[in-house]
Amino acid sequence: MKKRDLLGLRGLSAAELNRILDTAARMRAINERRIKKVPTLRGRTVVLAFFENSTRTRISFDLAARRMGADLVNFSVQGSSAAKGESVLDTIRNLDAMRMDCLIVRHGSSGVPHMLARQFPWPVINAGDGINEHPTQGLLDLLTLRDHLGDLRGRTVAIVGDVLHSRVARSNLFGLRTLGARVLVAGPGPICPPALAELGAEVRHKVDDVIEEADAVMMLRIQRERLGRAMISTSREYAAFYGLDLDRLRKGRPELLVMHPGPVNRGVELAPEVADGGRSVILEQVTNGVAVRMALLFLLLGEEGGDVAA
Amino acid sequence: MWLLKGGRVICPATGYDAVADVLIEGERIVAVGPDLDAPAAAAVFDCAGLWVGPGLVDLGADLADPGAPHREDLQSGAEAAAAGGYTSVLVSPQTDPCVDSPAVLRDLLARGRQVSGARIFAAAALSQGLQGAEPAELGLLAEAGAAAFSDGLHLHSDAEALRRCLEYARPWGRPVFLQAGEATLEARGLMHEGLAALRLGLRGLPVAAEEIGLMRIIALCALSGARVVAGPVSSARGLALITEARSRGLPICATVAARNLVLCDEDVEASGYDTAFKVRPPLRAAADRAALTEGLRQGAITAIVSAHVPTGLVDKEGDFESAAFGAAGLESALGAALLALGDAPALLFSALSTEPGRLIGLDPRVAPGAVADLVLVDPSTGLRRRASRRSRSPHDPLAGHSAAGRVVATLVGGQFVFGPIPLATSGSGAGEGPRAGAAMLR
Amino acid sequence: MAAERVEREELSAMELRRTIARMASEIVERLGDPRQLVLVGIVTGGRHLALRLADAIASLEGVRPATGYVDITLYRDDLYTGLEKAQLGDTRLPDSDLSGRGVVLVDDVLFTGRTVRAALDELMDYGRPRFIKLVVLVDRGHRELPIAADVVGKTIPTERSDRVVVAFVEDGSPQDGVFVQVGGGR
Repeated sequence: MKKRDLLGLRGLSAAELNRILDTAARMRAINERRIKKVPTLRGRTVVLAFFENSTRTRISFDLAARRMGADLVNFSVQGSSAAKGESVLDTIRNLDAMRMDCLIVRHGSSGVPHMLARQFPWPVINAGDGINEHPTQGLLDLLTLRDHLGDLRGRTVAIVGDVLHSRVARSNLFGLRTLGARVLVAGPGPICPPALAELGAEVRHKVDDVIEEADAVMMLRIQRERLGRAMISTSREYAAFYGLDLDRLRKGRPELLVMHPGPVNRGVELAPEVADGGRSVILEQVTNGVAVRMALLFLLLGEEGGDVAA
Repeated sequence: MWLLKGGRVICPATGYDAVADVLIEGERIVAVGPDLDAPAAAAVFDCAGLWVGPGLVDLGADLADPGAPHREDLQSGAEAAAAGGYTSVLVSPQTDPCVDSPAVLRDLLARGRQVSGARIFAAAALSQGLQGAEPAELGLLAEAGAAAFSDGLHLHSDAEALRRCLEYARPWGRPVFLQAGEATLEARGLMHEGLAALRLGLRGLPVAAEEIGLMRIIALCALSGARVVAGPVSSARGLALITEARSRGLPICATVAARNLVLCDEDVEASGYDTAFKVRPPLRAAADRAALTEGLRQGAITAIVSAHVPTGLVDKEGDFESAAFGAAGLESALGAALLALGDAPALLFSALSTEPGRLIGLDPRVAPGAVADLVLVDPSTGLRRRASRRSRSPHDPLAGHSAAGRVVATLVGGQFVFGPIPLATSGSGAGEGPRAGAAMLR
Repeated sequence: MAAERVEREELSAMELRRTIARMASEIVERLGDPRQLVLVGIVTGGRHLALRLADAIASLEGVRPATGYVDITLYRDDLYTGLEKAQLGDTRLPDSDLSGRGVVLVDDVLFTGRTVRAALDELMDYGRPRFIKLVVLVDRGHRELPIAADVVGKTIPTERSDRVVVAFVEDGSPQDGVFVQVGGGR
């Protein structure tokens, strides 16, 4: 039996992506009924190992695993032995010794899920690795886009912000290109460089350069703590050219969708009126997140059936 | 007394390249020529199909001794070197404590004389504590036996201080080994900055960092007049700078790491974040790799080095970001060099032996009167590389890579320090090498 | 060598339609007012049957019961045993809360009873129905669980190795009918 992992969207075919999205769409029904649980993964143990802080992604995975009926081990690095210097590998080995069926891992370094997937026999789901990928976020964004736009071939999606270091942006870029969409990226020079064209994006500069052509615009959170020195100027400067406010929104199409992976820096990359406004589908993204994660657990934990490639 | 019979003897120092016998008596070569009359006492080693060349000389291998036995020590390093065909190794001073005092240097050299395997030479610190601020006691270190000066992998950011160190070193005549890089540009980089790093989501080490470092080294070499060895160089742009500097007649030469002649950033990507590929200098683009090989052929690059920076198992156990830089290289360097230069054996031995030897005051040659430091190479292609077995470090990105030949045996001072000891076919005096009794592998 | 494939017709298109009509009147007779009922077909075989029964009830009583269908993939007891690729289908019910409703669970063939067991568990997660009755077109025996149908179209004795095929034109078959393929598989 060959096990499957979900380490990233780069390398998944359109058929594989659509299979996950179709399954996720069907999972939504469970989250709308009174008993938000199925017995499918009863008796399976799913481990959430978060070596990097996150609230919403962790809760989303937590709910997804529980709603699929699995038992959950919820591990985060604060106050754990990893904080005392135990290596990632040792930490996971210890968890594995307690017998698990699936690992969902988030880590600040790119490539950690790939390393773990090589070492252990059970499926690994990447919940975000360094500046590489955040495939479940990419999938829930794709599902949200598909709900509103249908077939994504020929559609134009703009991603604005620190595209270079955003694993959300990268996963979306890979997935959107595979599904035939056109991707425009915009942001300050150091974090939205021309090199991104090698990954299939059209590189622009300011929000104004992309807003008119886009069917959907994905605003990224500007993370000062992640940037290091000298990559962007002040918040005011950022909001002036790379943020989305009502005036700018009006320059776009009437049905333009506004997306954001959360949490939103209100007033910086997104004006509050836009974040809460009619075009924003931010909360739908969150709803779809649980369904996507349930779908992945369903698909990956099958022995024969898990058909989602790493 | 050995008769190495019927191999292709290649000696860049003399220009000799022919099928011939080599007669060794005691520590020295006494005769080289076709169909020599062997004395009855000589044991015969059949070298048909093999190359017989001067033993390889490595510059700047990190043997981590004193200080980090889980990575390497002099004995394991000397054995690894011998297994790679090296008869002499110039070890890096970046130890713990570092080699910036005559006492540490003397101790190192004394212990080096005790180990079996390649000969141990030492580079002493250029600056105190390898910090790049004040010159170390270069005179005392030279008298204590330093063959060269170096600050190991430290990148000099204080140009004024480096200038003074170079000017202070110049009269002592030893070559100064300088690493090319720029600390702030390289601060968070993990691999060559290019398309592979972009796809993998890993921060990059831009070529510009090597360029800036080399420009600094070249300018200060010109200013101070000191004999400088820069590198290992990893990029086409870096090579162009070296070529230009040499064309002006500056006393500068450059080295290249053997693995950079074979591997590139696509190999890092194909490995799937395998930490064995996290090395400095980084494995750059395919075009850089091609330029480096061409640079050797053109003479712009003088020597191939192993870039042996062994890492312990624990050092690279985790993720790519937190893993240590470095990999073993002594045992795989020749195989890699053969892949790049196997069609030009004289150039190969020049870059791996003759030129690096000359830099540290040796005179590697396969000629009567010379010390019998030799390597026997089987140049057959299609072999699969075995992983390092003698180095303490299990990490080598060339492990499993196809090789274009292998070391059959290594002799230091007329003694076999690596390889099968043949059964005596005539007379007494069969080898007293450390691995007696193995039947000859043919 | 290829096994001999004998196909035996159990119900012709005409007989199938009559059977469905008879089942419809039995449902009304035993379960009462169709407005209180929800006919839930088990995907895939029971889906079209539920709709046909609803139509038949409508022509008898002038009133059409609500219909829906459930995909039991997430409730199967054999999901991860490598028999089939894990493929999730649609579940659609007229209400996400079935509490207080009278549910008529509909499937084409009743065999081991495991499919019905899964469907029962799934329906229970949609609330607390007033009752769940089981209506099947074909009962082919070989029960592995204590499950019995309340209304049966036709009882057909089979070997375990036989395959029962229920064909509806709605799923692309050239014509309606029920066949037994002797030695034809599960």
